[in-house]
Amino acid sequence: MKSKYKIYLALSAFFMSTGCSDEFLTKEPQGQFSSSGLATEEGVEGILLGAYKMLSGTGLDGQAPWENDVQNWVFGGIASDDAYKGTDAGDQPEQSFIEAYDFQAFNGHIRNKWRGLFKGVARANDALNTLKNVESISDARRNQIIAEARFLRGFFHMEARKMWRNPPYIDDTIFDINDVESTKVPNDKEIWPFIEADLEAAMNDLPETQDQVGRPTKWAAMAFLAKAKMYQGWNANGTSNNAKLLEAKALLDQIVSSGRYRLMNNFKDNFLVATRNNAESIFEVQYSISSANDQASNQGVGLAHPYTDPWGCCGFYQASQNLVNAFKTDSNGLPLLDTFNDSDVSWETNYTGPLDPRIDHSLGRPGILFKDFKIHQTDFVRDLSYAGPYSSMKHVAEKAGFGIGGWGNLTSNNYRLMRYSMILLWLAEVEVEVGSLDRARELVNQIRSRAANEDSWVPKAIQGATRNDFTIVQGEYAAKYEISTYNSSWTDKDVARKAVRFETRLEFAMEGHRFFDLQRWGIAAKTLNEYLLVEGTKRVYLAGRSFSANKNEFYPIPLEAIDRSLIGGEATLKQDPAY
Amino acid sequence: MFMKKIYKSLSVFLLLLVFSSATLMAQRTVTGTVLDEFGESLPGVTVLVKGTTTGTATDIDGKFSINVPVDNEVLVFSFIGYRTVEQTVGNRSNISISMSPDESLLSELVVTGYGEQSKRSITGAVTTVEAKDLLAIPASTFAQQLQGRAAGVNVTNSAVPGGEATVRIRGFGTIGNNNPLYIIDGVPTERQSNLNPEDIETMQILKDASAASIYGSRAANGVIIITTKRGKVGKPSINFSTFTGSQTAAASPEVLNSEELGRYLYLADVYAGKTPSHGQYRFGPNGEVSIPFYVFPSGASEGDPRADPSLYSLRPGNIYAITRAADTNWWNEVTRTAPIKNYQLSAAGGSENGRYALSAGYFNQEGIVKYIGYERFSLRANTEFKTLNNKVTIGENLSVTFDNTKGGFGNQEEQNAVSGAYKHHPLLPVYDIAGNFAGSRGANLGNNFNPYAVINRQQDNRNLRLRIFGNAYAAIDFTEDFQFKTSLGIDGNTSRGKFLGRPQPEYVEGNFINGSTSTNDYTYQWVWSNVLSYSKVFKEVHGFDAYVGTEAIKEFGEFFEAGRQRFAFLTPEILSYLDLGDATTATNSGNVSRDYSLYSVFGKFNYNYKSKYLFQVIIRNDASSRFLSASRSATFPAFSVGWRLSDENFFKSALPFFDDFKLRYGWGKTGNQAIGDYNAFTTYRSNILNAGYPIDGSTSSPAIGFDAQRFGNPNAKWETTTSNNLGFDASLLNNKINIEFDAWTRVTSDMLFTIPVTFTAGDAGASASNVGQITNKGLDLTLGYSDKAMNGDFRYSITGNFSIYRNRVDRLDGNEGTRFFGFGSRVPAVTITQAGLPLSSYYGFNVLGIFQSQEEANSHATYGTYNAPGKFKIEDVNQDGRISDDDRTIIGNPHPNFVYGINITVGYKNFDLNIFGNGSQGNDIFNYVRYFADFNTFQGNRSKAALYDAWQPSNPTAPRSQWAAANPNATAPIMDANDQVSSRPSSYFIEDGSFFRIRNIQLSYTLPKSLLSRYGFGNAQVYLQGQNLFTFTKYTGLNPEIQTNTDNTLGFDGGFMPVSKTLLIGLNLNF
Repeated sequence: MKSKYKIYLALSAFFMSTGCSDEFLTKEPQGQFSSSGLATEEGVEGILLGAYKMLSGTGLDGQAPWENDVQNWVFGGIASDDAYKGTDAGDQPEQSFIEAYDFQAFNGHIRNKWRGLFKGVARANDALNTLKNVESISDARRNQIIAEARFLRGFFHMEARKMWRNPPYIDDTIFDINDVESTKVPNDKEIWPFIEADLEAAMNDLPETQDQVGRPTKWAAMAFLAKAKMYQGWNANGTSNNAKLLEAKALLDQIVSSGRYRLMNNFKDNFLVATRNNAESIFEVQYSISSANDQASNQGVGLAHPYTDPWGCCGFYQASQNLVNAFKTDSNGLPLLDTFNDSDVSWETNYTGPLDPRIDHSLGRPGILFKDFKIHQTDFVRDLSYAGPYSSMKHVAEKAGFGIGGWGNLTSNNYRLMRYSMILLWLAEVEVEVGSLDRARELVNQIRSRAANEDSWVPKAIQGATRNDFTIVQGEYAAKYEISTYNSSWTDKDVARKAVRFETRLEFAMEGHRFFDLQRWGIAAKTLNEYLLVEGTKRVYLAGRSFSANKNEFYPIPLEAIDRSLIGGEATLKQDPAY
Repeated sequence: MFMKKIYKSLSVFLLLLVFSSATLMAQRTVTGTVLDEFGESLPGVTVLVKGTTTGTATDIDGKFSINVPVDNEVLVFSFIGYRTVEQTVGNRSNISISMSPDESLLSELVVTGYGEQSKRSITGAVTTVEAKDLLAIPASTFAQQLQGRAAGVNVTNSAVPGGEATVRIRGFGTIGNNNPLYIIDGVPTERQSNLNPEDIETMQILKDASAASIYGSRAANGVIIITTKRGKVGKPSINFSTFTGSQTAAASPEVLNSEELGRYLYLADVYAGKTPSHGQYRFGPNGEVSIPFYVFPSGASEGDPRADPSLYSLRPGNIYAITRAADTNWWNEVTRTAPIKNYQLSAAGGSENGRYALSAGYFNQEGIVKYIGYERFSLRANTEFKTLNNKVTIGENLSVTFDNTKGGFGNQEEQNAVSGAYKHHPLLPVYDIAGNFAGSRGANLGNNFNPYAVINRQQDNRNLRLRIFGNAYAAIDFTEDFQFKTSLGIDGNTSRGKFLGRPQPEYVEGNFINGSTSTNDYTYQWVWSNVLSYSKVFKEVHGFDAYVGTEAIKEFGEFFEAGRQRFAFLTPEILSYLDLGDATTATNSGNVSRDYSLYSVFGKFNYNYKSKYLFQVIIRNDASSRFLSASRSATFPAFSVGWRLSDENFFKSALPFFDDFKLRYGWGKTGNQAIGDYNAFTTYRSNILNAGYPIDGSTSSPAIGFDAQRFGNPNAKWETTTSNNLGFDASLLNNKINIEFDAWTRVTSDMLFTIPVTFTAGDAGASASNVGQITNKGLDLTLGYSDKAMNGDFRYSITGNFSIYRNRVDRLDGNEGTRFFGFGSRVPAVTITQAGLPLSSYYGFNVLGIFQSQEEANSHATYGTYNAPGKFKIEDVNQDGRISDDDRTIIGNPHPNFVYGINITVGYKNFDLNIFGNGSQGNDIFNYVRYFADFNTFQGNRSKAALYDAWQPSNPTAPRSQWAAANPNATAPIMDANDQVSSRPSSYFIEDGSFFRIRNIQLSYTLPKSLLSRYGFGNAQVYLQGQNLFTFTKYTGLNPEIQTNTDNTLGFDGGFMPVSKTLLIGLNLNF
């Protein structure tokens, strides 16, 4: 071969090998859905379902489920006078800082609560925006999807507004899935009006009943709208805003007069798997669990189970002595509004004083049967000398619900996020402020009458041969339960207010509302500082702690949220001035 | 040795090419034989008539025959790696010579891209590491062996058997991915895993862009080129090598025993103002500690009816595991002396038309932590054939490796054996009274796992990997100057994991449920490259060398995982197989793990004038599927120049003791596209965790929706690193002294940075955008001295390498305030990446000291109710009179001031002693172990420091406000059962991580040839070796070598396995 020819051959071989098509370099994502592919009815329903998921407290990457738990046992529970962090001193120190009102903006719990709520907002907005690109869908369903998404968006923002003084409001006109900068908006306005607007729109468009119990009805939206108004019912120093309260009253009255809901006969039915979605429920956070998957279960409360067999983990969220004392009654079965904390309900010896029967459905205490598992003893707690002998109980499923998945604590015990008893007690709060003291008393008495149903009282049980064995003594109760209705008219507004608020504490003890109730009533600093003074003598680690008025009512905006909100070097989010 | 063999064989082919068409003039014939330094024949030696192009090469027996013109009387014998010899012919017709190796190694041929280059002509920053140096360290990967061997290369090792190493070349160029690119026999890969290091012939490290940019796209973090062993022309050579040895842990944790822990707990209660009490210990009036007889029932004494053995039960519904108190040293329980061994058998040889190298290897290392280990089987076959007058070459390199990582251990895991050894309560025994594993169910014993039980139960875990790696190639020589080569390479990996979940009923948070998870994944990559090359010397002075080429790469991988629970038995033959688990508990998942393609066109042009002036240009264009078409391709140019000053007369006369001196400068750009495969697309996922909700009220089956998974960025484009390198290579005093020096800068611009997404957008993954800039600059220095004495009976050499880099993030996303936090654990993130700082700087409170009195505490900036005698005095950085998160500041730097390695060899007759050490100076470590060990965190054990180095009052019974220091020089804060503040990330956790480690001391003896030949052996050597015998460091953790996965969190020690002290005996035999 001549050299020239060889070179020609070589070059042609070379260039043959260099041919390369665009096809080779084009890679469409495998194993993932595309944004445009979901612009269908099924797609938008799925995205909406993803928004519902954010109710549960899980569903957020890079968090521990308890950090963003809808049941608020950290932010509403251990930050209040109802409960301690529990377990031992070293576990989850971030919760200890919250318990000590040492709210640091880099606290990971606060950060992930923010992330979880605003992810919920983003998911709802994504459903609304995707829906705009869906053509083949009935107008009726389109309107329902809008209403459900706005309900969720309003709810998530409301939870954020409970946590922070000045969170931003992000709607579907702001949110753009294709522009990660789109939601960097300033937090410079009060968001309650936007929350109300979303919930009101949802209320107007949602149906009175839903085929699927997890979806909100018109009444649920109405209840949450009323809740939004109740949160604006008092200013920071505790003076009432009667105009707002009257707006709430109108809604609450409608719910009551609709006759759709009633109190369950048994108080405990609000805390069992077997009685989920009952007649008292207005809106529940749904959980499910199978032996193969626990990712839709109540993971947020997983840690808040007794530190003993069969749960073993981890003894968090222990009831305070103060809360235990609050269940004391006088010999007439009425609460000791002013003197309840003067002496302790003892636990080393059998306490024989009268108690509200709801105590033993709300918390575990030594000697008392704990749900249908076994008799609570000090082995339920991890460090008796640290956080005392009591446990939390309401979110713990009954025995039949235990152990379905890999981690036995996780169950399908729904969280009753909105139930009829709340409506009654809110209404009572309003009636007190607007002067209808007797109506308030009558509402409170409905609650107390139900609690007085002996069928639901915890029976006496005797320890059997092995730790888990027990025998129920028929006809006897675990303690001396005394409860009665307020039978004489309320004449003093202050006393009436105190009675209603006390009833709220007893009815919803350990349900994650207490801190926020104190916040909305404008009495957090006073109540909690009094609590700390006394409780610090019983739990040494609380000694010397204090709550800063006009500051600790709300949590600081997470530092990282501010860090990540930069536009042109300027943070669009501003820290709460109190921090 | 290996090096030289390959040069010999390579030269044969080169010369056959050069001379195959040469016309010879007939004058007179001279014949002869050329021998090497061992007296063996040396094939492939070039024999040239001086001043002409007339020449030949020695044949396989080292013989040659050449026609010498009358007027030319000098023959020049040259061979790569050997000193050139000139012989005047005179009237001889037979000339036999022996050649000796050229110690300067300047004529080495090294692979620097899609071709080879003599080291003499290199103008970029290229470091060669010899196989014998690598093999001095027994290791599961070559990357571990590279540690301390090359200036500018920073290697952090894992001490876990089968662990890999983190390799960083010249600092950290980006935030996403700083792994170098490996080119093994011409096939690029990003994996270092399970290649048998014994198959490696040589390794070149391309450190700067002027060298590496031929690999353009993925070369920004440097390139490591690995060439495996080939056969040489000659008789078959069979080699057997083996070593065996035993390993022990080089460090152990300093923790309290049962009695000491009791004292600690007593004092912590006293200083907290509590009445001391404990669920197990009993305290006397002055803090005397009495240890109970039982820990379950808590604190029971001998004879306590609650401890009646007949009550014992460990079954569902009744857990009553009676457990005696103990004083357990958990470290002793979980560690052992462990064997390590290796066998390698290889054969190599060849003829002019074909050559081969085969090897089989077996490596087995058990862990110093019980029940873990690693083993690897490997096979390699490298062959090459020539045909059509030696103009067509066809060959292949293929390796098959199978390895097995056994048992359960992960560095950084909170309940691994190392963490358990310093956390688990010493009062707890390994077994309860019934011989079952003891848990911590008694009061105040904490919730750590029994660390022995953990590793025991995971002993049947397996991670099996199979890797097939290699290429087949063909080359055609069109003319002697002009060649075309095509190569098709594959890198196929598959792995199978079995993770057996044995229940731990005794564990306080445990249960009786067993389970099993199986994983399976594969990735395959193919690479097709085509290179057309041309090389010629014109008029003997103008050397040209050039090639152009293309390369196409495609990689794809998938992952699959499934699991079940509730198997009937726990034996591995049942629990390993999913079919035997409860089908209603089945779980599974599968996804794409890798999916991209790359296409590149490249070219390289070299010119030299008399090897004195050197010039090189490289250009490469890459197109990646990871970018959309508008920004898909980018061009990476580079050039470099060299000037051999030692060939200049003025230099020779001024500095005659220089044998060689070459000045080099290079500039170039390289790229990075390590941003994940679908960066451009916004995508959604559908799973229960992120989108499963039982909307219909089902208690068991959630409906599953969609959740945004990733925000796409269609506008991303290539990241570019521009580097400058100025250096010189020098040899002095007859090549006794060798120096390599480089000063360099690397600037990464358009850095692909995953901007932290604002939380209000949701939690979908961020996509990479081109925003940031990082600058690295540094110096690399290698110095070597070698000499002989006593007629060569005494040999010695000392080689040191030293490197410095400084890293600085110039810009993240253009916003000055942008901060990027690293890994958070039980404490908030402890590292921060921010413009103006080195990557991953430590961030937290600065501890100024310990308050010695209440007055001092009162006069300092307030910190809630924290300030008190014995507590940390935190610096009020912003001087606002109170300590808050705004007072967190930069408290340390994980980057070393410099790293270095030193290698000393001394030989006398048949004995050789080698000492190798490496070190790092000035880097900080965040010792997270202290969070558990030194502070009032979980119930469990504490470090000695927590008790003995803690501040204590001399008058503990006085009110706290009057406390005076008993030990004012204390370094740890006061023991305080209520303290949750001291453990926040602070400078207390920061320790100087400097260390120097004697990695290897080896004494070898080469058996005398006379003895060997009697038994038919060619060469034999035995050696004794000690690994990691000495480590000099002030670091209090177990291992100052901290390997962290992500580059935004460096030097975070969450419980690393210490290195092993290893004693080995080894043997090399050659037939």
